Amino acid sequence: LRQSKSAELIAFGIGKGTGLVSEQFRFTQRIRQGAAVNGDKGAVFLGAMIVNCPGNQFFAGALTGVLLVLSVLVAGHFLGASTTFARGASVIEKAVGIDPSQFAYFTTQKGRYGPGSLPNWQLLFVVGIIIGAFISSKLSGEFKIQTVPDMWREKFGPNPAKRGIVAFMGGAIGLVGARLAGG
Amino acid sequence: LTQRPRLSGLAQLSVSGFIALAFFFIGGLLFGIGWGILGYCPGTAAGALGEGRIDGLWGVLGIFRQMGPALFLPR
Repeated sequence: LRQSKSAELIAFGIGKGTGLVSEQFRFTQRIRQGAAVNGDKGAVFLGAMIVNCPGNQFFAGALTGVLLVLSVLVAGHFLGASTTFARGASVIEKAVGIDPSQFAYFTTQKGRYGPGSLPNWQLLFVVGIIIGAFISSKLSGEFKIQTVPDMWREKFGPNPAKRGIVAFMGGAIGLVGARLAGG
Repeated sequence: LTQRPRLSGLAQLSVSGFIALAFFFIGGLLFGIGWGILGYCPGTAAGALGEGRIDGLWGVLGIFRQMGPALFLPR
């Protein structure tokens, strides 16, 4: 799902370990205070704490699988993100004064992918990913404004434009694939 | 043998013919290549953005470029 950080974690294992101890105390305090005000929030903090422990990417991956099953059973939707970006593009086109209906994709299946299809369940899911990633990275202290990921820097250097162009191309190619396969 | 599982009908695969299968195949390959180049799938690109990784944003813009081609054309 994301670039693996295991090598990094081994290299900085000792440093991370000490960091986590103090963080866990911080979490305990927050959970206690939070529980007094709002019981639900305690569970969210606890979840973020478990998922952000080093080496628990596998646990988080398994949770994602459970989430997929639950999203179908409870909400009746498969979780996914790519279609929301496709729909979002039509909304942006419309907003800046371009008629999205000139593209067959946005008019097919009664405008299922057109600007009228948003907001919907999946949009909230994608917004939730951004908010959830922000909260959990803030809680674990991993939030960092970064233009080039560490692994990229090691292999291809620190140039943010280079990374930006490649990421841009990767996003474009990936979405062609997703649309082709109907995903 | 004729008894269907309780959850049947929740998911359906409708692959009709060789062309649809070819689209699945090529699309899946392209999706994987794009994922590999970007380093995120579309969902985790959003997550990366939430974590402060700006490169997730370039990936999302690439996606918009592909799906909203007119946005990037001179008018």
